[in-house]
Amino acid sequence: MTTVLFPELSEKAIAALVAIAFVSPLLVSAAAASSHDRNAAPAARAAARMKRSFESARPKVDRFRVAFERAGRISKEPLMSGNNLDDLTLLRAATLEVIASGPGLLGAVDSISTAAREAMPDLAHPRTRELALGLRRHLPAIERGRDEIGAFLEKLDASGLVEEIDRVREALAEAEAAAYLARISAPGYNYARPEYLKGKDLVELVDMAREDLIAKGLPLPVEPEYDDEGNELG
Amino acid sequence: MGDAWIVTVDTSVFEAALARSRPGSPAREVLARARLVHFTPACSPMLQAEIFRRLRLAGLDLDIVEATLNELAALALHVDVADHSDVVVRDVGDRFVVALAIVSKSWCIVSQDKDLTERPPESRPPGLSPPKFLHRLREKRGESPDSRVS
Repeated sequence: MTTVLFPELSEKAIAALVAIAFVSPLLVSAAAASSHDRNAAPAARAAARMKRSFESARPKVDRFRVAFERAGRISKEPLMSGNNLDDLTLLRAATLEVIASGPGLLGAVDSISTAAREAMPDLAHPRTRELALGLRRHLPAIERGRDEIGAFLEKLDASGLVEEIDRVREALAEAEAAAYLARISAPGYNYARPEYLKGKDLVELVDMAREDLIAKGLPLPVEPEYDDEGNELG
Repeated sequence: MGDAWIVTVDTSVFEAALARSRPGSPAREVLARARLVHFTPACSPMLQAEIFRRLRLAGLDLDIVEATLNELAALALHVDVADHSDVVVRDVGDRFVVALAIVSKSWCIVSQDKDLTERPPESRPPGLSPPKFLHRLREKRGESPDSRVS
Protein backbone atom coordinates (compact mmCIF):
# COMPACT_ATOMS: atom_id res chain seq x y z
CA MET A 1 0.00 0.00 0.00
CA THR A 2 1.28 3.45 -0.91
CA THR A 3 0.74 6.26 1.55
CA VAL A 4 0.42 9.76 0.19
CA LEU A 5 1.12 12.57 2.62
CA PHE A 6 0.91 16.28 2.14
CA PRO A 7 4.18 18.05 3.10
CA GLU A 8 4.22 20.03 6.31
CA LEU A 9 4.74 23.74 6.73
CA SER A 10 6.16 25.13 9.98
CA GLU A 11 3.93 26.75 12.55
CA LYS A 12 5.85 29.99 12.10
CA ALA A 13 4.98 30.17 8.42
CA ILE A 14 1.34 29.51 9.19
CA ALA A 15 1.48 32.15 11.94
CA ALA A 16 2.77 34.61 9.34
CA LEU A 17 -0.29 33.94 7.22
CA VAL A 18 -2.55 34.42 10.21
CA ALA A 19 -0.75 37.68 11.00
CA ILE A 20 -1.42 39.01 7.53
CA ALA A 21 -5.05 38.03 7.71
CA PHE A 22 -5.32 39.53 11.22
CA VAL A 23 -3.55 42.84 10.76
CA SER A 24 -4.79 43.59 7.27
CA PRO A 25 -8.30 44.80 8.20
CA LEU A 26 -6.82 47.08 10.89
CA LEU A 27 -4.28 48.46 8.49
CA VAL A 28 -6.85 48.91 5.77
CA SER A 29 -9.07 51.01 8.00
CA ALA A 30 -6.16 52.99 9.40
CA ALA A 31 -4.64 53.53 5.99
CA ALA A 32 -8.01 54.65 4.72
CA ALA A 33 -8.19 57.23 7.52
CA SER A 34 -4.72 58.46 6.69
CA SER A 35 -5.40 58.63 2.99
CA HIS A 36 -8.08 61.22 3.75
CA ASP A 37 -5.57 63.44 5.47
CA ARG A 38 -5.38 66.28 2.94
CA ASN A 39 -2.53 67.95 4.77
CA ALA A 40 -0.16 65.10 4.17
CA ALA A 41 -0.34 64.23 0.50
CA PRO A 42 2.77 61.98 0.29
CA ALA A 43 1.68 60.11 3.40
CA ALA A 44 -1.83 59.85 2.03
CA ARG A 45 -0.51 58.33 -1.18
CA ALA A 46 1.69 55.91 0.76
CA ALA A 47 -1.21 54.96 2.96
CA ALA A 48 -3.43 54.43 -0.06
CA ARG A 49 -0.80 52.10 -1.53
CA MET A 50 -0.67 50.17 1.71
CA LYS A 51 -4.46 50.00 1.81
CA ARG A 52 -4.56 48.60 -1.73
CA SER A 53 -1.87 46.04 -1.03
CA PHE A 54 -3.62 44.77 2.07
CA GLU A 55 -7.03 44.70 0.44
CA SER A 56 -5.62 42.68 -2.39
CA ALA A 57 -3.62 40.38 -0.07
CA ARG A 58 -6.41 39.26 2.17
CA PRO A 59 -8.33 37.02 -0.28
CA LYS A 60 -5.08 35.61 -1.64
CA VAL A 61 -3.87 34.73 1.83
CA ASP A 62 -7.23 33.24 2.75
CA ARG A 63 -7.40 31.20 -0.45
CA PHE A 64 -3.97 29.68 0.19
CA ARG A 65 -4.56 29.12 3.88
CA VAL A 66 -7.94 27.41 3.43
CA ALA A 67 -6.56 25.10 0.72
CA PHE A 68 -3.43 24.35 2.72
CA GLU A 69 -5.35 23.52 5.88
CA ARG A 70 -7.79 21.41 3.91
CA ALA A 71 -5.01 19.42 2.24
CA GLY A 72 -3.23 18.91 5.55
CA ARG A 73 -6.43 17.81 7.26
CA ILE A 74 -7.39 15.35 4.52
CA SER A 75 -3.91 13.83 4.33
CA LYS A 76 -3.79 12.97 8.01
CA GLU A 77 -5.71 10.04 9.42
CA PRO A 78 -7.69 8.45 6.59
CA LEU A 79 -4.64 8.22 4.35
CA MET A 80 -2.40 6.97 7.14
CA SER A 81 -4.73 4.03 7.64
CA GLY A 82 -5.01 3.15 3.97
CA ASN A 83 -5.63 5.07 0.81
CA ASN A 84 -9.16 5.88 -0.11
CA LEU A 85 -10.17 7.08 -3.54
CA ASP A 86 -12.57 9.74 -2.26
CA ASP A 87 -10.01 11.21 0.15
CA LEU A 88 -7.32 11.21 -2.51
CA THR A 89 -9.60 13.02 -4.94
CA LEU A 90 -10.25 15.71 -2.34
CA LEU A 91 -6.53 15.88 -1.52
CA ARG A 92 -5.70 16.28 -5.19
CA ALA A 93 -8.12 19.20 -5.57
CA ALA A 94 -6.81 20.89 -2.41
CA THR A 95 -3.19 20.40 -3.50
CA LEU A 96 -3.89 21.91 -6.90
CA GLU A 97 -5.56 24.84 -5.18
CA VAL A 98 -2.51 25.34 -2.92
CA ILE A 99 -0.25 25.30 -5.98
CA ALA A 100 -2.53 27.66 -7.90
CA SER A 101 -2.89 30.11 -5.03
CA GLY A 102 0.83 30.13 -4.10
CA PRO A 103 2.14 32.73 -6.57
CA GLY A 104 -0.71 35.13 -5.72
CA LEU A 105 0.09 34.79 -2.04
CA LEU A 106 3.82 35.43 -2.50
CA GLY A 107 3.15 38.44 -4.70
CA ALA A 108 0.72 39.82 -2.13
CA VAL A 109 3.24 39.49 0.71
CA ASP A 110 5.90 41.22 -1.39
CA SER A 111 3.52 44.01 -2.14
CA ILE A 112 2.66 44.41 1.55
CA SER A 113 6.33 44.53 2.52
CA THR A 114 7.11 47.19 -0.07
CA ALA A 115 4.07 49.31 0.70
CA ALA A 116 4.56 49.09 4.45
CA ARG A 117 8.27 50.02 4.29
CA GLU A 118 7.55 52.97 2.01
CA ALA A 119 4.63 54.17 4.06
CA MET A 120 6.01 54.04 7.56
CA PRO A 121 8.24 57.11 7.67
CA ASP A 122 5.58 59.31 6.08
CA LEU A 123 2.48 58.36 7.97
CA ALA A 124 1.05 61.44 9.60
CA HIS A 125 -2.10 60.09 11.14
CA PRO A 126 -1.24 58.99 14.70
CA ARG A 127 -3.43 55.90 14.64
CA THR A 128 -1.99 54.81 11.29
CA ARG A 129 1.53 55.41 12.47
CA GLU A 130 0.89 53.35 15.57
CA LEU A 131 -0.42 50.44 13.50
CA ALA A 132 2.34 50.76 10.97
CA LEU A 133 4.91 50.55 13.75
CA GLY A 134 3.10 47.48 14.99
CA LEU A 135 3.32 46.04 11.51
CA ARG A 136 7.04 46.80 11.41
CA ARG A 137 7.46 44.45 14.34
CA HIS A 138 5.52 41.74 12.45
CA LEU A 139 7.23 42.28 9.12
CA PRO A 140 10.35 40.17 9.72
CA ALA A 141 8.21 37.19 10.73
CA ILE A 142 5.90 37.74 7.78
CA GLU A 143 8.85 37.92 5.41
CA ARG A 144 10.47 34.82 6.87
CA GLY A 145 7.11 33.09 6.51
CA ARG A 146 6.98 34.23 2.90
CA ASP A 147 10.40 32.72 2.21
CA GLU A 148 9.43 29.48 3.86
CA ILE A 149 6.18 29.30 1.93
CA GLY A 150 8.12 29.99 -1.29
CA ALA A 151 10.48 27.11 -0.51
CA PHE A 152 7.51 24.92 0.41
CA LEU A 153 5.81 25.61 -2.93
CA GLU A 154 9.01 24.79 -4.82
CA LYS A 155 9.33 21.57 -2.83
CA LEU A 156 5.68 20.70 -3.45
CA ASP A 157 6.12 21.31 -7.17
CA ALA A 158 9.28 19.21 -7.35
CA SER A 159 7.87 16.43 -5.18
CA GLY A 160 5.53 15.19 -7.91
CA LEU A 161 2.83 14.81 -5.28
CA VAL A 162 -0.04 15.42 -7.71
CA GLU A 163 1.35 12.82 -10.12
CA GLU A 164 1.77 10.38 -7.24
CA ILE A 165 -1.79 11.01 -6.09
CA ASP A 166 -3.01 10.45 -9.66
CA ARG A 167 -1.07 7.22 -9.97
CA VAL A 168 -2.61 5.87 -6.77
CA ARG A 169 -6.08 7.14 -7.73
CA GLU A 170 -5.88 5.40 -11.11
CA ALA A 171 -4.91 2.14 -9.43
CA LEU A 172 -7.69 2.42 -6.86
CA ALA A 173 -10.29 3.28 -9.49
CA GLU A 174 -9.15 0.31 -11.61
CA ALA A 175 -9.50 -1.98 -8.62
CA GLU A 176 -12.95 -0.61 -7.72
CA ALA A 177 -14.12 -0.94 -11.33
CA ALA A 178 -12.82 -4.52 -11.54
CA ALA A 179 -14.68 -5.40 -8.35
CA TYR A 180 -17.83 -3.72 -9.73
CA LEU A 181 -17.51 -5.66 -13.01
CA ALA A 182 -17.21 -8.90 -11.07
CA ARG A 183 -20.30 -8.05 -9.02
CA ILE A 184 -22.55 -7.16 -11.97
CA SER A 185 -21.31 -10.16 -13.95
CA ALA A 186 -22.26 -12.57 -11.18
CA PRO A 187 -25.60 -14.36 -11.67
CA GLY A 188 -28.48 -12.79 -9.76
CA TYR A 189 -26.76 -9.44 -9.18
CA ASN A 190 -29.09 -7.27 -7.14
CA TYR A 191 -29.43 -3.71 -8.44
CA ALA A 192 -30.55 -2.47 -5.01
CA ARG A 193 -29.66 1.06 -3.92
CA PRO A 194 -29.58 3.01 -0.65
CA GLU A 195 -32.86 4.38 0.68
CA TYR A 196 -32.03 8.03 -0.12
CA LEU A 197 -31.51 7.18 -3.78
CA LYS A 198 -34.56 4.99 -4.23
CA GLY A 199 -36.95 6.22 -6.90
CA LYS A 200 -34.42 8.67 -8.39
CA ASP A 201 -34.39 8.60 -12.17
CA LEU A 202 -31.41 9.17 -14.44
CA VAL A 203 -31.89 12.94 -14.71
CA GLU A 204 -32.37 13.37 -10.96
CA LEU A 205 -29.18 11.41 -10.42
CA VAL A 206 -27.32 13.65 -12.88
CA ASP A 207 -28.43 16.66 -10.83
CA MET A 208 -27.44 14.95 -7.58
CA ALA A 209 -24.02 14.17 -9.04
CA ARG A 210 -23.44 17.80 -9.86
CA GLU A 211 -24.52 18.86 -6.37
CA ASP A 212 -22.27 16.19 -4.88
CA LEU A 213 -19.21 17.59 -6.66
CA ILE A 214 -20.06 21.17 -5.75
CA ALA A 215 -20.59 20.18 -2.09
CA LYS A 216 -17.16 18.53 -2.04
CA GLY A 217 -15.55 21.63 -3.54
CA LEU A 218 -14.30 19.64 -6.51
CA PRO A 219 -13.65 21.34 -9.81
CA LEU A 220 -16.52 21.23 -12.26
CA PRO A 221 -15.04 21.69 -15.72
CA VAL A 222 -17.53 22.87 -18.28
CA GLU A 223 -18.58 20.90 -21.28
CA PRO A 224 -17.27 22.02 -24.64
CA GLU A 225 -19.25 24.63 -26.53
CA TYR A 226 -20.70 23.65 -29.90
CA ASP A 227 -21.70 25.63 -32.97
CA ASP A 228 -25.11 25.31 -34.63
CA GLU A 229 -23.88 22.36 -36.68
CA GLY A 230 -22.88 20.49 -33.52
CA ASN A 231 -19.15 20.97 -34.10
CA GLU A 232 -17.03 21.61 -31.06
CA LEU A 233 -15.79 25.17 -30.79
CA GLY A 234 -12.25 26.12 -29.83
CA MET B 1 -40.86 3.44 -30.91
CA GLY B 2 -37.61 3.90 -28.98
CA ASP B 3 -36.83 0.18 -28.92
CA ALA B 4 -35.93 0.19 -32.60
CA TRP B 5 -33.41 2.99 -32.10
CA ILE B 6 -30.49 1.48 -30.36
CA VAL B 7 -27.66 3.87 -29.58
CA THR B 8 -24.28 3.32 -27.95
CA VAL B 9 -23.68 6.16 -25.54
CA ASP B 10 -19.96 6.41 -24.83
CA THR B 11 -18.47 6.85 -21.36
CA SER B 12 -17.46 10.42 -22.19
CA VAL B 13 -21.13 11.46 -22.43
CA PHE B 14 -21.87 10.07 -18.96
CA GLU B 15 -18.79 11.79 -17.59
CA ALA B 16 -19.79 15.06 -19.23
CA ALA B 17 -23.38 14.83 -18.02
CA LEU B 18 -22.63 13.85 -14.44
CA ALA B 19 -19.28 15.44 -13.68
CA ARG B 20 -19.00 18.40 -16.02
CA SER B 21 -22.18 19.61 -17.57
CA ARG B 22 -24.21 22.69 -16.91
CA PRO B 23 -27.99 22.35 -16.73
CA GLY B 24 -29.41 22.19 -20.25
CA SER B 25 -26.20 20.85 -21.79
CA PRO B 26 -26.34 18.45 -24.75
CA ALA B 27 -24.82 15.54 -22.76
CA ARG B 28 -27.46 15.96 -20.09
CA GLU B 29 -30.20 16.04 -22.72
CA VAL B 30 -28.90 12.78 -24.20
CA LEU B 31 -29.46 11.07 -20.85
CA ALA B 32 -32.82 12.82 -20.37
CA ARG B 33 -33.97 11.42 -23.72
CA ALA B 34 -32.75 7.94 -22.79
CA ARG B 35 -34.89 8.17 -19.67
CA LEU B 36 -37.92 9.10 -21.83
CA VAL B 37 -37.14 6.11 -24.09
CA HIS B 38 -36.60 8.30 -27.14
CA PHE B 39 -33.92 5.72 -27.92
CA THR B 40 -32.53 2.61 -26.27
CA PRO B 41 -28.96 2.76 -24.97
CA ALA B 42 -26.83 -0.28 -25.62
CA CYS B 43 -24.99 -1.58 -22.62
CA SER B 44 -22.32 -4.14 -21.79
CA PRO B 45 -20.61 -5.00 -18.51
CA MET B 46 -17.38 -3.49 -19.87
CA LEU B 47 -19.12 -0.22 -20.67
CA GLN B 48 -20.70 -0.13 -17.21
CA ALA B 49 -17.34 -0.82 -15.55
CA GLU B 50 -15.62 1.91 -17.58
CA ILE B 51 -18.33 4.45 -16.79
CA PHE B 52 -17.97 3.44 -13.13
CA ARG B 53 -14.18 3.98 -13.25
CA ARG B 54 -14.38 7.37 -14.89
CA LEU B 55 -17.11 8.73 -12.65
CA ARG B 56 -15.28 7.57 -9.54
CA LEU B 57 -12.10 9.25 -10.77
CA ALA B 58 -14.09 12.45 -11.27
CA GLY B 59 -14.86 12.30 -7.54
CA LEU B 60 -18.47 11.18 -7.61
CA ASP B 61 -20.00 9.44 -4.64
CA LEU B 62 -20.02 5.65 -4.93
CA ASP B 63 -23.77 5.36 -4.23
CA ILE B 64 -24.64 7.90 -6.94
CA VAL B 65 -22.40 6.17 -9.47
CA GLU B 66 -23.94 2.78 -8.77
CA ALA B 67 -27.48 4.16 -8.81
CA THR B 68 -26.81 5.84 -12.17
CA LEU B 69 -25.53 2.60 -13.61
CA ASN B 70 -28.56 0.78 -12.21
CA GLU B 71 -30.79 3.26 -14.05
CA LEU B 72 -28.81 2.75 -17.25
CA ALA B 73 -29.09 -1.01 -16.84
CA ALA B 74 -32.87 -0.73 -16.42
CA LEU B 75 -33.24 1.26 -19.65
CA ALA B 76 -30.66 -0.52 -21.78
CA LEU B 77 -30.39 -3.32 -24.26
CA HIS B 78 -27.79 -5.62 -22.71
CA VAL B 79 -25.18 -7.09 -24.97
CA ASP B 80 -22.16 -9.01 -23.85
CA VAL B 81 -19.27 -8.54 -26.24
CA ALA B 82 -16.90 -11.38 -25.53
CA ASP B 83 -14.16 -10.57 -28.01
CA HIS B 84 -13.41 -7.22 -29.57
CA SER B 85 -9.77 -7.70 -30.49
CA ASP B 86 -10.39 -7.40 -34.23
CA VAL B 87 -12.14 -4.01 -34.06
CA VAL B 88 -10.08 -1.30 -35.76
CA VAL B 89 -9.97 2.00 -33.85
CA ARG B 90 -7.50 4.83 -33.40
CA ASP B 91 -7.36 4.34 -29.62
CA VAL B 92 -7.44 0.70 -28.48
CA GLY B 93 -9.20 1.88 -25.33
CA ASP B 94 -12.26 2.58 -27.51
CA ARG B 95 -12.45 -0.94 -28.92
CA PHE B 96 -15.08 -2.17 -26.51
CA VAL B 97 -17.31 0.83 -27.32
CA VAL B 98 -17.18 0.27 -31.08
CA ALA B 99 -17.58 -3.49 -30.62
CA LEU B 100 -20.67 -2.90 -28.48
CA ALA B 101 -22.10 -0.58 -31.14
CA ILE B 102 -21.51 -3.18 -33.88
CA VAL B 103 -22.87 -6.16 -31.95
CA SER B 104 -25.91 -4.26 -30.67
CA LYS B 105 -26.58 -2.96 -34.21
CA SER B 106 -26.55 0.57 -32.87
CA TRP B 107 -27.68 3.35 -35.15
CA CYS B 108 -24.75 5.49 -33.95
CA ILE B 109 -22.22 6.07 -31.19
CA VAL B 110 -22.71 9.27 -29.18
CA SER B 111 -19.42 10.53 -27.82
CA GLN B 112 -17.42 13.57 -26.85
CA ASP B 113 -14.24 11.77 -27.82
CA LYS B 114 -12.89 12.91 -31.18
CA ASP B 115 -11.31 9.50 -31.74
CA LEU B 116 -14.89 8.23 -32.02
CA THR B 117 -16.66 11.20 -33.62
CA GLU B 118 -13.97 11.81 -36.24
CA ARG B 119 -13.63 8.26 -37.52
CA PRO B 120 -13.46 7.79 -41.31
CA PRO B 121 -16.79 8.54 -43.02
CA GLU B 122 -17.26 4.93 -44.07
CA SER B 123 -17.05 3.74 -40.44
CA ARG B 124 -20.19 2.08 -39.18
CA PRO B 125 -21.93 2.94 -37.01
CA PRO B 126 -21.02 6.61 -37.24
CA GLY B 127 -19.82 8.57 -34.23
CA LEU B 128 -21.79 11.73 -33.40
CA SER B 129 -21.19 14.47 -30.86
CA PRO B 130 -24.10 15.00 -28.44
CA PRO B 131 -25.48 18.06 -30.34
CA LYS B 132 -25.25 16.28 -33.69
CA PHE B 133 -26.93 13.22 -32.24
CA LEU B 134 -29.73 15.33 -30.74
CA HIS B 135 -30.22 17.09 -34.07
CA ARG B 136 -30.55 13.75 -35.88
CA LEU B 137 -32.80 12.33 -33.17
CA ARG B 138 -35.16 15.33 -33.39
CA GLU B 139 -35.31 14.85 -37.16
CA LYS B 140 -36.05 11.14 -36.80
CA ARG B 141 -38.77 11.84 -34.26
CA GLY B 142 -40.26 14.63 -36.34
CA GLU B 143 -39.61 17.19 -33.64
CA SER B 144 -38.92 20.85 -34.21
CA PRO B 145 -35.16 21.61 -34.39
CA ASP B 146 -35.58 23.84 -31.34
CA SER B 147 -37.27 21.30 -29.11
CA ARG B 148 -35.46 20.57 -25.86
CA VAL B 149 -35.90 17.93 -23.18
CA SER B 150 -34.56 18.32 -19.69
